[in-house]
Amino acid sequence: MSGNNVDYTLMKDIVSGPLDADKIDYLSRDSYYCGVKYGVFDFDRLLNTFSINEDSNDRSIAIKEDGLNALEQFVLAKYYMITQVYSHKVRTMTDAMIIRGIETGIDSDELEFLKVLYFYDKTEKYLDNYLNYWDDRLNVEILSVSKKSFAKEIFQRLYRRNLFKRIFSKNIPDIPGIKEKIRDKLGDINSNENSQLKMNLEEEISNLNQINCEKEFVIVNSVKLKSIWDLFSGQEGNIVVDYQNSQKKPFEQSSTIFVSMQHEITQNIKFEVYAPLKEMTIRDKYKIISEIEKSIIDLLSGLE
Amino acid sequence: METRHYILLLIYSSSDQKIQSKTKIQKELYLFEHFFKRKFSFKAYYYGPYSSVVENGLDELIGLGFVSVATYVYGIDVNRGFELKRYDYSLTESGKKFAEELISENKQEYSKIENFVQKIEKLRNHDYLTLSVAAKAHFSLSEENRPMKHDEIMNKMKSFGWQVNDEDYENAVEVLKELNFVEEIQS
Repeated sequence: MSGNNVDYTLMKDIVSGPLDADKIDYLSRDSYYCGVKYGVFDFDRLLNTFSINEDSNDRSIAIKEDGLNALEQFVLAKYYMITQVYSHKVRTMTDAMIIRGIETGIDSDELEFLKVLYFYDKTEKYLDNYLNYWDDRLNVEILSVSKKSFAKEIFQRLYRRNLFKRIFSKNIPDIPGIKEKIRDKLGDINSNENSQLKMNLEEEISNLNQINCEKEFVIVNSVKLKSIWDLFSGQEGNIVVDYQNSQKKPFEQSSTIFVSMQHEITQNIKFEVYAPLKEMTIRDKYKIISEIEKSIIDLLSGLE
Repeated sequence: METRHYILLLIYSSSDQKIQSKTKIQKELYLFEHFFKRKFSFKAYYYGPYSSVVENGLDELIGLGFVSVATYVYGIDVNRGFELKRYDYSLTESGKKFAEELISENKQEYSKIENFVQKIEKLRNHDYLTLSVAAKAHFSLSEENRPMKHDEIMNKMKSFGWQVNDEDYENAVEVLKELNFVEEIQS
């Protein structure tokens, strides 16, 4: 985008913003292909009620008063897609397995092609190579590795849908007996600062009797889920609603649903652990999982 | 320290270990950023400078059980039949305990925060509305990065969609002067 008299804000809103073209497209698309109805909203109505908010030197996307309900529907659709699809436990676990597969492929298995792919050396050669990779190629290359490797085993599990199991999942404030400092670290367990704690926990959990696997196959994770109010305030909440009487107000003050919503419902941060579990009856599974839960709580409460 | 740690210590050092309204937390962190050159990625939003980094930090504190949220109803919007609410953020017992641990490990940083909060609380007007207008005026001035006249600042704020009246603007300028953020230049 270059030249004079360009509506930068307006163009940016179309490419990246609370009502951008991508978001409007992917909610409907993902909803359709996942076979769920959560992402459904009145696309035509929303589009027909788009307006432009103009002030002295800028223009941005706004919505006409008549489009309020369609926008509410859109915000709810986004919320339901996040809670029911994008943050679904299988999706969260699968993401964590893909990351672990790539990490172990680089750090433990020392697969040369992965090292080349994930260490940016600022050369054009790097970019050429990177652009030649896509999901399928990465899968095939990892699955075709001739030696026994952690990456290959994790990707084989993904390919055969023989996923790890979620063996622990609790809201962090509900884990009894853990110190405040540890609580703070568990909420941010994937940060670089906490990588040693993450590795130690994974190793100790892998040694539990009920699990007894290699430490590379245990994944600890923290999962954040915001309340609907917090998801939309600062985003759709700021969209200007253009009233027929020329009044303008942000969406979060205009929507009757959101104005009346009790937004003190707090967000959750869960601490979760995924690991392979052998096939067993449901009764045995519940028994084992509750034993594992107790062991993990003991482990966490002993951390200094 | 992470952003959430700064927010936690900001609430800890405020009177009654409580901050009334999310807007006030945002505005205090905005002013704090310029006080100490600590960046929280503020951008211009409908209600003034806003940082999603601060928003996320606050969410994390709530999610970890260190901060609790209480609703304060201060009236009814008769036109639409809704309660007007404010959300007060205070530390839980474990939040206080964690803040004390953080302080013992970051004494220097905490004394800066404490000093900043004392300055804010000593201001003649430190309600969230004045802080909000002060943040808007300061943001407008920072964007231009040059000395500006009253009308120019008012117009700049207007260009962000921020409607500010003269009285609120004058109060905000006083706040910025008291914090040594701005000075008057005779032309």
